[in-house]
Amino acid sequence: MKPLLKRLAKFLNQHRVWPDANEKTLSQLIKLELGHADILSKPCRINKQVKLRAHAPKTVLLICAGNLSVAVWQIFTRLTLLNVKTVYLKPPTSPYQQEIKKIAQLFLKNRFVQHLHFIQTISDATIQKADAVIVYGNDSTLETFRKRVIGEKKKKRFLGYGHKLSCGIIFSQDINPSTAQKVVTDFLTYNQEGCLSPHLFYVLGNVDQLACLLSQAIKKSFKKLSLPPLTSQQKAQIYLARQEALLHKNKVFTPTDDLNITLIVEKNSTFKTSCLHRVLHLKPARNLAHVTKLLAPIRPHLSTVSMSRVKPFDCGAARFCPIGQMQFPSLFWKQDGFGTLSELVTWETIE
Amino acid sequence: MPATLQTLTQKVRLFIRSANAANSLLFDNLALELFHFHYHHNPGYRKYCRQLNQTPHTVTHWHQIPAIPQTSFKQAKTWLTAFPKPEAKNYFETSGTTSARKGKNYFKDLALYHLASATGFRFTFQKHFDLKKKILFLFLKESPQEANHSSLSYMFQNWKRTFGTSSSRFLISQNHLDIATLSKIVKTSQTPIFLAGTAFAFASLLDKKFPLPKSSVIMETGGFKGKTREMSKKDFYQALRKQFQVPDKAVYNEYGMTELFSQAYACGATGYHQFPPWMRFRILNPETQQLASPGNPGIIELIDLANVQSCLAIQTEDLGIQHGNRLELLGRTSPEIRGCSLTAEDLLT
Repeated sequence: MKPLLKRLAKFLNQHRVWPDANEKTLSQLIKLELGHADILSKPCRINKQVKLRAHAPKTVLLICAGNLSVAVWQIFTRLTLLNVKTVYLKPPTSPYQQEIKKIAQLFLKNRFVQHLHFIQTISDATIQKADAVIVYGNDSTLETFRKRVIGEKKKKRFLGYGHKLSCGIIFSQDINPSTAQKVVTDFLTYNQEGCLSPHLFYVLGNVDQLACLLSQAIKKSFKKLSLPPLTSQQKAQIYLARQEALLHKNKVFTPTDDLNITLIVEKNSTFKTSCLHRVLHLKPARNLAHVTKLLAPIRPHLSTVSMSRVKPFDCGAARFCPIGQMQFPSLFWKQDGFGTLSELVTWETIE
Repeated sequence: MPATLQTLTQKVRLFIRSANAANSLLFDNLALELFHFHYHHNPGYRKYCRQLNQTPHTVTHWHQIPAIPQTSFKQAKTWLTAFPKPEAKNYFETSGTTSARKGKNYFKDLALYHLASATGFRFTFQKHFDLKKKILFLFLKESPQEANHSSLSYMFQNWKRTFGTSSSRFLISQNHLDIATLSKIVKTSQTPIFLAGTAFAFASLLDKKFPLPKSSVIMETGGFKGKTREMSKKDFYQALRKQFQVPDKAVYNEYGMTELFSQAYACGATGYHQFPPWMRFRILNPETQQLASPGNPGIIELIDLANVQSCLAIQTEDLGIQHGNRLELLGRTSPEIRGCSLTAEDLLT
């Protein structure tokens, strides 16, 4: 296992995926998830009476719907740690398809997986071959595959990642240019796409002040960001979102003086999804108890909450992180609150 | 003499009745007259115009008439009619498929709605049917008695009364589509059938075959706004043709909405929408906030003279391209699911 971990750490460092990825942390991850670093290769003693062994899947079917590269790095790293031999990958039809394929091919080229098959349709035969099925997609996609997997004679693991929402919280005392710059990173990295991107920020202080600072920060860094151009449909959505904001007498900040980036300062605190396409809502909140109430309707869908000072609270979020870090989850991140390795293995108990 | 709701209704009624002879100048004058009236008598619309710094002094052409966003009809606090609230008799309500809050269009009478929808029907479908004879209508929709706030149900009811045989009927009741009756009528009918309904209702029938009598017509409306079953229009029309054994030129799409009293129609899978003479559209470039040049996509704004009781200009949430006086409807601007972010609809269902 050690040579593999060493090679994997080197590979991840080469591609600057996680700054803390090294042989030790990778081993630590296995230990945290499975209880023992060697448990995948031999039975490990838990106490005087019991030994446990984890069997990793050999063949995995991975269905990606609209994933960003960060999720693909995550999942292939896990599959490598589990020593998965064969991966059937259904790439998304999104603009990220090529990038996702490229990352998968890097894992193949570096012999972290032995066989990689890109597939367009998911046949029953492919599902039959797989020991584990991992699906990213909307609720109906997950349900469809869950049913197909349950119907299989051969028992297999199923791991489904549905659509999620993220947001941020800024405390009054943290409203300053440095915070604004970090909010811009959360907001615009990956073009506000993916479940880690914020739809809105709750401000426990002067919302207008943060909006002004954000505008300034965006003006400074906009040209460096090389954001993709907007489509006609996206432009229309942004225009309508701005019109709606004006109808409600909300303030609209347009730091680039065009449709590229929109900040909407609202008086109403109720959680609202953004139309995305670089439209961020800023809403007032009194305190964390108030935010808890505001997030209650989306509790089952909440992924990440970034905070200007991390104070985990009971809102249902699967992850709390400092602002500026939303898009860069740790190696130890348990996506959607699931175990990263433990959900994919089957256990053998020896008494 | 200042214009009143009655005098303007009468003018629009005359315009619609003589619509074949309607000319551009008449439309422009009547549109401006309606705009003045709405500015003075529709408080929600006036407020919106003032936000845009538009008044009867600044607006001199129908192109300049401010179009109220469709979403405004969803605000309970905003009164968007040109008559006092107590005079409202009923309202049409949006289906609410893509949003939690439903839009409401209040009205005090439906005479103009009936005239506009019947005249629009005559314009579009007289080439398929001899309108001196009664048509057998089958509606994949609830009756207005069951769907008291559905503008589509009222429109169908009006067609049935004006052009339909006594055996014309609504085939959805209590959320149940009466497939057995549909199948029986289709099999036994000796005359062409006009089969109309929501695209979603048609989609629920796609696995079955109902060959319609010769010269029958299908009209679908609504697309799959926000529903789970997504299909391209081309594929959908191909499936309809196969399922009902009708040619492409006998399949129509109706483009209408709760907020409007008139409708546009497109023929076949690739046809553009044509508007009746009392209705026009313009395409707004969201970037410049000016009219988009022909051939370029933008937000559709509709001007409907029959909307005397509410607002004559509506900014839709749809995208389109202008081709002469016809409209290529590109679909909703609604957010598509991207990455793994949730849409508002996902949250609320």
